[in-house]
Amino acid sequence: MIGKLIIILSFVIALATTVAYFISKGKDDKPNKIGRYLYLTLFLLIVLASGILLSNILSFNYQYTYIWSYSSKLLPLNLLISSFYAGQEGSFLLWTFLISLAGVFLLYYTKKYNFEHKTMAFYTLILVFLTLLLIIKSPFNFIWESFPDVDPNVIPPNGRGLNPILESYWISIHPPILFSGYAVLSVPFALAVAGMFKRDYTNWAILATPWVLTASAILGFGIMLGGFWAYETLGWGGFWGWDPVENSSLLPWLMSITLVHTLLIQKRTGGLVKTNMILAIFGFIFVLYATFLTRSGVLGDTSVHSFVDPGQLVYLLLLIFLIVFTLIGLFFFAIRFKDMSSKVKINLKYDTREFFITLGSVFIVAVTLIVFFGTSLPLFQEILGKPKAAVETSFYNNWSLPLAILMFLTNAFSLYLNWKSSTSIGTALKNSLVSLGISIILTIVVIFFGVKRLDHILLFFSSFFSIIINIVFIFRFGRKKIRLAGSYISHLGLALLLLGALTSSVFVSEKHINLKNFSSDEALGYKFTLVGRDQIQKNMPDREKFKYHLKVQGKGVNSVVSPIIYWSDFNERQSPFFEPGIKRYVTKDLYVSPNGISLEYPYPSKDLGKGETFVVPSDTSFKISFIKFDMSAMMGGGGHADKKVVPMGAICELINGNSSVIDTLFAELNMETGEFNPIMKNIPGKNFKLGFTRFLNNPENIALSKVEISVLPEEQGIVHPEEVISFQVSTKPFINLVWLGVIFIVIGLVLTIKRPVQENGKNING
Amino acid sequence: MKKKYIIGTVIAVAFTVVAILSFDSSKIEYTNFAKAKATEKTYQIIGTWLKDKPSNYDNKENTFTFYMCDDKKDTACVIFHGAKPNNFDMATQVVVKGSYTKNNFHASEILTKCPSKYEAEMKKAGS
Repeated sequence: MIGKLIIILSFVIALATTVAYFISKGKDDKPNKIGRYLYLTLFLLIVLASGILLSNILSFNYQYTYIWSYSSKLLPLNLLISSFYAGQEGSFLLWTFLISLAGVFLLYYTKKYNFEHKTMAFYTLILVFLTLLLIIKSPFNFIWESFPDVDPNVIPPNGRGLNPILESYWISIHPPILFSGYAVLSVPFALAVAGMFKRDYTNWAILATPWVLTASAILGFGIMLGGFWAYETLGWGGFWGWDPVENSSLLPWLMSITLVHTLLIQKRTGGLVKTNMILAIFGFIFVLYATFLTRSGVLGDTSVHSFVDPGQLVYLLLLIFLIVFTLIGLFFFAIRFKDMSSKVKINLKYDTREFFITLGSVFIVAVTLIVFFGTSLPLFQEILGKPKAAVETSFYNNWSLPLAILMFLTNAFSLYLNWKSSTSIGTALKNSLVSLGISIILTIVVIFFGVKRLDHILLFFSSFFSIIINIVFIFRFGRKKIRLAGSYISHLGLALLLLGALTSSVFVSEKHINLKNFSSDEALGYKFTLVGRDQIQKNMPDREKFKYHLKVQGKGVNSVVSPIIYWSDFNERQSPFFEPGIKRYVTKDLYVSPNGISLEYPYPSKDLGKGETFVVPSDTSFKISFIKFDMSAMMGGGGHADKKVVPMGAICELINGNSSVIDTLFAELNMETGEFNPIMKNIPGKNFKLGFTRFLNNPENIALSKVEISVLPEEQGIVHPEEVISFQVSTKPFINLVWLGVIFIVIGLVLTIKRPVQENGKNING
Repeated sequence: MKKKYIIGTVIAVAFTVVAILSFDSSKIEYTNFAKAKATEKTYQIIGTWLKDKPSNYDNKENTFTFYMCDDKKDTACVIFHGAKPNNFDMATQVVVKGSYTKNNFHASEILTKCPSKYEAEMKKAGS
């Protein structure tokens, strides 16, 4: 109850804070001071609400619907903490917490430069919406409130637990980082709108720069961690799939890195004032758009991620949230448009660095548009009343490849030009001859190694060009002060990232193999031998998890790679979950992804749950439908209670064309050894016999146990099935360039944050 | 100055036109089996898995074959080029992406829509 009250109180205070800040006329007047205290109170309340949720999770209070749904006593501490944001309610609370936290920093930051009242007014408005969302989608609902037929006196002894595929340490890292990035990116929005409100079109940009750089670093890192997670444990084979969820997190990041460039132009030349305004607005709108796409359930049919329909009210509120902030941004942009246009007159000469950086920014915006329209297609079709549709992933690849080539060429060439003063294009070209020459030689080498497609060749060439010149600049500037090399390190990182993305996806070699225990198969020049399995996480009763060991030999390699296969109560152990095994080398990864287990019999058989039917493949008019178990003998009914061997029955309906009979298939179970002997039943008039050949026990719920029914040719005897495991094995050349690239991008961005912060003091006149 | 705007506009328009054209050609519509059967085009189809019909994972070919019923109640044999997705048994709805060749729908991708654990639990409790 207390949690809910705190959320409601937060909403009221957020509203009051916004009003106070709007009334304020400037630094240190009374409403401003009130706003400040209210904001800090709001922050403390949100911290308190988060603390209450966390402490309830840690003390296993499963009377809360949210905690019951996503948490469990079986989870280790780090995952227990992560279950805080495993569902919508908690992730909204985490987001609210991070935004309010960033707001505390923003408050003192803007206070210093007399930007506080208007910035915080718009910023707190975001929190008004978020707290309202938390009132409707509360993590503090009790079980009996969510499900009226549940007895309020009964507290569930345990929660439902996390989806097992989320149970990895990545869930402790990836979502909070991504949400932090989103939170930081809401700051430039507030500053931009405040700037337009105040008719101050320069200082906001200086103030926003460190936040934009921080957001770019954090968000970029967070997105890529998601890719690494998918690659390393989810076994999707790649790190990026252009899935709507991935795309929607990419959009704000693309806006953010565009802003990094255009804010620099404004600082250097005074131009691109309107561009920066609109980019800062859309950076945040894309954050809201991402939330809307991923939380409203609109993309349910088109993404591999599963979505929960949050209910009409939340859908509507998310939509209103998105529309309101879009309108606020565009409204101020519209009313200040003329004013902004009259303030600046710059002539962008084409042979200057600022022109090429602008051109590069245009290319990033082009990528943004491609991703935006591609991702939004299902939504547009719905709005236009057209049939549902989605774009193929090749759409994104086909567009981003040429745009990446243009970006690298622009980036590399821009470094041969100077700021403001013209350098003749001829001189620049002449200066770049050495780098161009080396790039051409390297490109010829990769062609020699079998790169054939023109677009691939051009990507290699352009990224080599960019890599070389950026390395030269890293040494030139980094020698004096490493943080002066930040932008070159980031650009080097981007080139490495996209090269790695190309090589690891286009030049991947892949093969499907099946292995029985101690059998081998050849693939990609290696010999793979399955040499047994080990059970891991034995102390967890809700799962059976095994590491399967594959010996890999050949091409100078002799090692073991161990993918994971497990069964979980989460899906009632109906089918296994898989995690890939990866052997990392400097130039490539050997990626072994299990994707199926089959039991091999010399005759047909099938696992049947209650009500399920097996059609005899050789005679499709004959069907066996499993009705229920006959345990009467086991329960002691037939005087078998003291015996070692008891019969166990599967009552089935045997359907032969139009006629059907109810019959029981028996097997003898040895209670001591567990030995299971089916008693085969001959079917009159058919050339096969039936047997209840295996009992698939479900310890959690005996009613969900299954029977394996086999159809044997008359002369065939029973044999033990052999487990056959299917693997997709592949080599991913130079995948390490991807991770190295991301690390460089992030490090480069972090290095550049400090400079604008220091310069703010000099450039802003309050 | 004017020249720059003209060039810029031309590039922007060209980009938009090409983008829209490629957008249209890489669009995959959702439809039903009857419509998909008439062409060789790639479509996505939403439906349910018919559990009482035979389904099989062929580990030699790495194909998973099953029967599916679309929202028009048409049934088709779907051959998915890959292994059986691990949440397939729990799925209330499946979405297959692919095209018809001969009498079978060949799918290159399957999305499974599962009830949230929650609904499943409550349904179980209610029944």
